[in-house]
Amino acid sequence: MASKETTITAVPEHTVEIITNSGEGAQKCAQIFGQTCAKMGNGVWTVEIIPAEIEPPHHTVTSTSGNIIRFGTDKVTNWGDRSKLAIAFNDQVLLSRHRLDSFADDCIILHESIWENHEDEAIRDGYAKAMKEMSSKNYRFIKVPIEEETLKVVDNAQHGKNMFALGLLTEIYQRDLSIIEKQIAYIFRTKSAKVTELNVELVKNGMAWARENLDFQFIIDSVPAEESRVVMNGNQACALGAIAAGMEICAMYPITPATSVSHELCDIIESYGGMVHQAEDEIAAAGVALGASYGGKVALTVTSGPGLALKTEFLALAIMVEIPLVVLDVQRGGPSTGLPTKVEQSDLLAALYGQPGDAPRVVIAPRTIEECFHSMITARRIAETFRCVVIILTDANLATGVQQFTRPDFDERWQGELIDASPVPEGLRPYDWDHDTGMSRRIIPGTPGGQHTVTGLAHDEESRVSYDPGSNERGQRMRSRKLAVFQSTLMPPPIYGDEEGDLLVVGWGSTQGAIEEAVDRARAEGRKVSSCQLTFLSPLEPGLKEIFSKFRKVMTVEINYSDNLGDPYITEETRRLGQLCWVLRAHTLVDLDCWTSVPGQPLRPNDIYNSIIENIENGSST
Amino acid sequence: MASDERKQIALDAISSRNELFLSAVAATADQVRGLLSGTGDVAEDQSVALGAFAKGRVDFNRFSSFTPKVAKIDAAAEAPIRAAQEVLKSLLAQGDELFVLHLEEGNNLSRKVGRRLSLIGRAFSAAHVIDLAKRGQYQEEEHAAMLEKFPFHKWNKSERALAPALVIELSAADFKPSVIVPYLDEHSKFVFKVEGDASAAALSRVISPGVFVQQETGDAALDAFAEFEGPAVAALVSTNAASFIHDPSAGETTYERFVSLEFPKEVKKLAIGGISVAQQAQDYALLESLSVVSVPTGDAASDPAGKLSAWLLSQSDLTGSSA
Repeated sequence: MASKETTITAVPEHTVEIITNSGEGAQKCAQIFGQTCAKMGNGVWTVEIIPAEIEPPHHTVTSTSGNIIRFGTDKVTNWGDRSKLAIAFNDQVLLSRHRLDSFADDCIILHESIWENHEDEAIRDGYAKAMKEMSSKNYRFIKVPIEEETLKVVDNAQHGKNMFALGLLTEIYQRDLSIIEKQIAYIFRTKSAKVTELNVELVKNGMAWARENLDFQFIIDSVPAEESRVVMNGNQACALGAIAAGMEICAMYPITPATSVSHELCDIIESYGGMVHQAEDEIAAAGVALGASYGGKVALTVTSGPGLALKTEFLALAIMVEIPLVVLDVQRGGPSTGLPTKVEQSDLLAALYGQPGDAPRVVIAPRTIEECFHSMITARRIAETFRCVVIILTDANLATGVQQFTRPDFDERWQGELIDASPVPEGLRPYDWDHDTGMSRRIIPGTPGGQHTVTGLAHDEESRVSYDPGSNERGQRMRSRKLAVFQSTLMPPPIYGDEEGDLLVVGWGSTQGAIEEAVDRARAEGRKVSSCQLTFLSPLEPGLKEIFSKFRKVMTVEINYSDNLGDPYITEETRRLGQLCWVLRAHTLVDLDCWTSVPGQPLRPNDIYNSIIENIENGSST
Repeated sequence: MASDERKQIALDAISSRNELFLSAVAATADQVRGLLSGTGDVAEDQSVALGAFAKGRVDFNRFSSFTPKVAKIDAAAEAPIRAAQEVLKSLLAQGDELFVLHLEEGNNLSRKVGRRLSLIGRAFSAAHVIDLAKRGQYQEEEHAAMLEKFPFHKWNKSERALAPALVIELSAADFKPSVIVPYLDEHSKFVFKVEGDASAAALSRVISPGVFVQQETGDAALDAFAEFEGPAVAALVSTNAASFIHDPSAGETTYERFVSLEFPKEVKKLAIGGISVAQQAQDYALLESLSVVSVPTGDAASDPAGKLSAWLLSQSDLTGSSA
């Protein structure tokens, strides 16, 4: 591109994609860029694009790895709609994103120039076909000699193209280079100083190239926060929350996308007197956590859908013997091994009911990355107060998304002791259930006067195996009653928007930001739409039936599967619904509808908006 | 190199180990604060204890009515728990100084190290006292003394794994490192900062298969020492001494474990403090025998190190008790 005049456009927000082959460092580039935006005071939300396979063949549509960064002047609560700018290291990864309709029609695409005239004919052909296929859109393509420029600084372009790309973004969006330099130094802190120097040089080269060759820049104002903030992803937040909650042991077995929770914990938990135990499998991990809790420790086990399935036996034992246990399930696509790296909310029914026998437990779902942190504290407290299992449902969207939030102000009461280790009064039995509440004192091994055995078999108040009909009825009733007691402490969920109207959209977990953005758009058009994001899923928050009664229609929006009415064989009778929709219909006897989608990625506000409009205009009343 | 710089090298080498220890002490102190402040059977406490996630979703008043009333420590338990808390606080207040032992000339190294570890061990005994008090098993006459001192031999395996490292500043005359061998266990680490010319191979006496040993004459950082997962000893000595690293993870045989080895060009023939020339020669011969593949013969016998130790050995009667 020849010498030019630069057009500077002020925009409230932008969505950017960096897309590469797996292993080319897109995540690192995006991580630094996202952190920099956050530190400058922009609202940020990032989403990882992770290939389903560990080592997919390079330069193919299946090899796409990358990151989407949405950042703006105001708070950003979801990944938004289509991207306005993309940097692609080859035509095939670009094509894969185009096929997913990821780019806005006027998207600016900076792509590697080397492939067009590559010596390999197959690559040239692939490039030509890709460009032809994408010509249906009005994208603005700009060829960038990414590899050529990178090789001016390092010998191996694979280890530097990402930093050159970071330099392009730094110049286009006028980011603060000093923050970027600090981020680079931090990321490569374990390497030699030379590595940091080279990476900074690459960034500067990228900036210089952009300054010289690009004719546009975007200005996105930032407002530095008054309060102290932290920037992290949901798995990091869960790990730090676990430490803040005083959790002493995390027993786990590696499973995507939950593993990085334990990585985070491994780095720091020993400094706080805790430990991470990698067990030989998911079942053993649940057993270790349960055993630790039995011994009086604050225990956590971390998993994802397939692992939750394997843990069911031990969860049942925890419920039966009333040992507190916190389970973090970072949901992914299912069933079976499903979509390990992709987003879904399809473990809800498994978390609520995935157990032989009646096994009541608490299920909660944080809605934001900040709530991932705080939910760990709440989960511990509930588990210990009611001697129960608490399952926290996050998902891959929260797990890998990055957002900034107010730095939590640690309070020692988060770790307050709930175990009464004083001698057990004579006559007090291990399961001396209070008839009204089902609650009983937790007696840990070693407590004077508290010696008893525990059993997964039906047992009486003395903790002795008992098959008589009365004691089994009593045990079931007491374990169930605790949940009713806990529910009595819950308050009705808040409504986003008016408390009555034409449509209430009900969601849970990570979809909050996208749902509320869609609701805002509909309300801006005068539509009477509100939303309600549930966080307590078992027991459910009270007052739902009354809330629903004030709307003409109620619809859940979820990232799990439901049949579409009108598809072959799908009728009102045969239609399978979204998981929360099933639960709410059973709970309230209200005829809820649902809109769900399982694209393996977070829901887009625009898609939810379209479903809202369609439901209002075409759906029948609830 | 200036004494302050060497002290900094020593402190850097033990910092990660000691951060781990201090963090554990701080975490215990936090837990004690939580224990004493209670989780609360009042709504105000619950509004905090339940965390921000519950705000607006849980009725804290109601929730607190179901909280087990266990947080209030009974009167008998509160006093020892508060005493233990004071111990933890006092240890935390000392910061890095807790891990630096300056040995006055002529003092007994073994006794001083033992006393310092006993002082540090109060972090562990404080945890024991808290546990005993919570369980109603604390006996003043039996357990109170634990908070005064908790010697190394009473530390359990987990406590030894958490043992902090010590920097010991001492003069060459008092540098008899073999006296710390009883404390080389699990992850214990010691760095000697030696003032004056010490025995050229003084640290050879603590070499054993599982112990990382580094004698350093220059200004190199003790990175490998700091990273070694196990017992380790290092000494920062003058340039007249040998420098070497014995890294147990580097090989099967003893000589393979010497990842670096440099003998001094010249060794002084002077007794140092109570350490005779003969003893120094023994140190030297020991280092050589551990680090060299085989006894030098033929041309190899002209190796300067071989000659040096042979000369040193010839200067003394190893069978006698001369000083």
